Amino acid sequence: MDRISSTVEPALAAPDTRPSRLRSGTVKVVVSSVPWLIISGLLWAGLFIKPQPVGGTVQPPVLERRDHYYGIAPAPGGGVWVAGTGGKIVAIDDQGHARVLAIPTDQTLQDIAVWDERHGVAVGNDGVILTTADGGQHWKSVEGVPRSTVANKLTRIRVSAEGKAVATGEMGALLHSKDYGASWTRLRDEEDVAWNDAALLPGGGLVVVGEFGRILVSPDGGSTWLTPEVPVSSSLMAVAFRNGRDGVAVGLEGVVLSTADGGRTWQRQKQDSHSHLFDIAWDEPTQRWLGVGALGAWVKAAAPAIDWQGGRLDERDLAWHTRILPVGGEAWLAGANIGRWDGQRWQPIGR
Amino acid sequence: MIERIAAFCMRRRALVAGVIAFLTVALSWFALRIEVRTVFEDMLPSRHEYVQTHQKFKDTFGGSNMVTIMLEVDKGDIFDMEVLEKVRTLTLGLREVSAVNPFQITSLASKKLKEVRASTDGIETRPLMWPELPANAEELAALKQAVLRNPLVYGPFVSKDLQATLITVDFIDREVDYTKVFEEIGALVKKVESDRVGVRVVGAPILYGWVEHYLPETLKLVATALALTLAMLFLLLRTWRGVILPLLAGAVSATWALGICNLLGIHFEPLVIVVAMLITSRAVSHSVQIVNRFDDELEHIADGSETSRQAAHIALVDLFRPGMVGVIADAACMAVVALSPIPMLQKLTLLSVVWVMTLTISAVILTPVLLSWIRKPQGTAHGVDLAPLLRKVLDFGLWMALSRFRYVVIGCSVVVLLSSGFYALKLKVGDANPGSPILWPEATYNQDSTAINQRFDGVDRMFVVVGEDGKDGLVKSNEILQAMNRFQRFMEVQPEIGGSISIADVVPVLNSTLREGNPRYEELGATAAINGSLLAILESVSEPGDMDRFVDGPAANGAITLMFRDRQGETIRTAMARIKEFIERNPLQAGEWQLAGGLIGITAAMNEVILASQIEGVALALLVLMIICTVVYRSTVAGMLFMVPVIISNTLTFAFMAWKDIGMSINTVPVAALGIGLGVDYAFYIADRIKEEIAIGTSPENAIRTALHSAGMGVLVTASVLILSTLLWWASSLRFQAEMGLLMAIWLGISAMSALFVMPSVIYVFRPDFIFGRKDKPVLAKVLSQAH
Repeated sequence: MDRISSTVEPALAAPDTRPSRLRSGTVKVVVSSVPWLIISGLLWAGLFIKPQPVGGTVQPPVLERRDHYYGIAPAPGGGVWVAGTGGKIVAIDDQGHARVLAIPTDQTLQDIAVWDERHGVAVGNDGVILTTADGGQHWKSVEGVPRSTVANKLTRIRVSAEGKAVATGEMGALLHSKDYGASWTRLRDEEDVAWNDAALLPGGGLVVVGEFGRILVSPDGGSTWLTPEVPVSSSLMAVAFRNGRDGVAVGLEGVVLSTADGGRTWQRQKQDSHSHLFDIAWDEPTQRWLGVGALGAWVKAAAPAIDWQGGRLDERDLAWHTRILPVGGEAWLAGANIGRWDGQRWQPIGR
Repeated sequence: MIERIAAFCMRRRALVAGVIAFLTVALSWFALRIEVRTVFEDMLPSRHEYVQTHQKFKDTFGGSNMVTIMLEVDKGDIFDMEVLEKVRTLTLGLREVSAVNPFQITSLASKKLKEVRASTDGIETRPLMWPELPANAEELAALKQAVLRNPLVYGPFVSKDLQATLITVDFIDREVDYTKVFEEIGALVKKVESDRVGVRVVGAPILYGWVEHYLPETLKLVATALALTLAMLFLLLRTWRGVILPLLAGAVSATWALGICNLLGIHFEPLVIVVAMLITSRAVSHSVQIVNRFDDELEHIADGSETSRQAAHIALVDLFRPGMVGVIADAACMAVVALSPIPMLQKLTLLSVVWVMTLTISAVILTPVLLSWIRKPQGTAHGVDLAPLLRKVLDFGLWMALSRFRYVVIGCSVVVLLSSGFYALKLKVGDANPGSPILWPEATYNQDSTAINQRFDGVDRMFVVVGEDGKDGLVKSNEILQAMNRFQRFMEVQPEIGGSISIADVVPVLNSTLREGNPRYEELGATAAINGSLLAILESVSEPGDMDRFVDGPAANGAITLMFRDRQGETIRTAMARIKEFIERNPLQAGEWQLAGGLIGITAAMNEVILASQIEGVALALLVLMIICTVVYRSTVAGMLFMVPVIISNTLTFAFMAWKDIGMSINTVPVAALGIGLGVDYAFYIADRIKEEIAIGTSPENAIRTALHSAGMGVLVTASVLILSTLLWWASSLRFQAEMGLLMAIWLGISAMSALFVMPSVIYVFRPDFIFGRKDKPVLAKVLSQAH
């Protein structure tokens, strides 16, 4: 650490005393080591500090973009429960706030229904049946559900008073429970047809619709079966009754059938759209039939189910819906998205 | 040594000037032939994992040069003969564009977008609108229905509101010439654009096409900045030599640098013109310092025939050390950037280092040599004298250094240093704004980009590959398909990711189609057998190349393409971190994940490289600077002293970048690196002059006064001139250049201020030995000698 400058030594060098020299010596050692510390610090930093990228955190929304909600049911405390992709059960309140209720399975759930404040049931892929007895807090997978060796997707669940329920599905699955879903038995033998929906009539009657335009009617809750003539051969997706006699079934290609004798005879009704229809429901307060389907299609008709009107929920929303649930003058729809529809305006939730 | 060089230069001045002139003429021939273009491959850190994945799969899964064209209508929808006709015209026309990969043109009118139909006769696929347009209203309605039913088209290629449709086209990377592509696509677009149908175009070739489109404007700005610099110099220095010699210094070094680089086979990137300006400004500064010193010396020398020569000799001798140290420090700090694995930065570094080194000849030697020929050194060229005004500023600096205020200055500097240093920690790597940071938000390109992002899932893509070479058919396995699906769900949670697509999206659609369009089957099959047969059906009805977007030939590797709405650094960092999180949480039995290709993939790679070397760059540049100062002045204290202005200007500039949302990117890194060397130049001149004055026995106060009034004057003149001319860049149509101009102006301003106002105070307060001479023997030596 020499200096090169040709500076003249300052003429007046302060005379030193021994103790202060020692002290200033120490100070100088410290001072002169600082640059070396800085140099080695820089070298170390330059060679060894490699910052790693740190990403932000992302909170997944309750309703995700890829979620499909195939089933919907009125929630015991108001609002609705929806069930769908990856076993997700979501509660949505009347304001449209969603929260995940439970994810009891990773199988996609196809439908959900409730009996009362406490009891509910959900069905889905691979024959999964889940029940709750505490208002949705806990869900339990039911053991010993009859299975097919070929395919086991259960698509709809219908419930009626005193803990009765009927589930429909692939390979002729038509399962019956009388104890709030705790145990299940077959109503019919396995066959190569998918039953898509069943209507539980007051008085114990049962009407089942399925693939290839097939309909089954049982006046006694499943002991004997009638196979009425059906004017179409395309698949029927849903059926609903407004009393013990008058009912409507809908299906692919915009098919609408009606019956006035508890399902023994069916008439095809004229309906302009050819979009698939996936669900039909009777809305008691407004006295009308409401149906939904593919590409945002809806249909409606008054009680006689003869004069059908149809349209799209929204020109810019062509999502499909597999369920419609009339509640208090308007309707909840579930499918590729969830929303409310009052007959005029479509309000999707969550995106 | 310095004396000998100076004596030689003065004695053989004709020879020196002649050799320089000859070399300049010779090199100018090469300089004029240097290639001006952007080479995409150069921006890639080729050894980075992401870039390797990109290079391996870009021909299959889509490169980073993809161009997206959107046709949109305000009223009605795109299912209209006029619009469809235009889609077809564009699709066919794109085949003629140079370097286009003809198998990678996708639109409604291409063969690639197909409808899969299940009927009683079996499964069939047919292109949506190829080779012919719909012939009548029924066919048009059928087309619309086919699009609506197909989630691989409705959403990704036709907007949800049906008012816009996309055409995407990819290029053969190594053949792309951005200017050509930009012009050819521009001509095509002009052909179809109409009042009713708007066309918007984005993509890397278009972006860099715009940059080159603005090249003439950029050159005009360079010329204007140059003219302004010279006019200001003329006004302030009042001599022709004060104008012509700096100009000559700048021109000679530019010619040498460009000529040498052309000989080394390096091309010139239009975006780095800012760096060129910065270096030229160094040439001007050094030259002005010398002219200024020459003028000073003239005042002290009695009139005589040898006046000029003598004054030039003194200027050369006295300014040789600070000038050389300045140049070498600039070059060395810049050279640190070469450690970056990005070829463009390496080449740029080479260019800059060569350029900066030429200043040793053009400014440090040529200027004094030419000065020695001045005939009538006294006198001025015009009557306007701004010197008193400038002196007032310098006196203010002097007052700050010598009065008690000096402690306040030092205190304030520490506060500024700490607070700006703290704020600078917020500096982000990567682009800080949506759209391209190279252009202004209101530029056509950014507007187009925003418009497309509003209607579609996102323009910028990244692909992630899953699979393993040699394991044919692996992608068809249930595990991989399920993993892809889960991965897509996981990634799409991030709001900036508009959507994603993979083979795992095709299978559910096919599944549902085979089940009469029942959405309850819009899912992957439950077993490998089902998925395998679905894919087998798909293969049986598709043609070679149809599935290229999703899987490679033997189905050993599959791609998941993620669509990004923006490419801000934060967005990309979050996405990459989430990808890694997913992979860690979901280990695969067979196959592996490979990150990440496409524009976003390689941007992620560049950002990671820049982030990792950020500390390295600054720390090593400071280290180099400290070592140079330590060696030159044989004092470690000198190293520390000169770090003061550098660190202040660095932290302040980084803080400014953080504040103005200018991210650290491949474009800003070189400017930042040059800035480190830049920050110290002015301080060298001031400190060196103080040292010289002290050496001849002047009192510290007088030494500081002289230094400020001579070297300080040079600093003040060059800084004010260069700040004004760099601020001109604010008018540039290229936002990047405007911001870099501003950044440079701030950098110059801060380093000039710290040299004029902070350094004298620091020197006066701490009285470092290397300037004021040693009062005692070196401490270490004494300690050692006592130990013996």
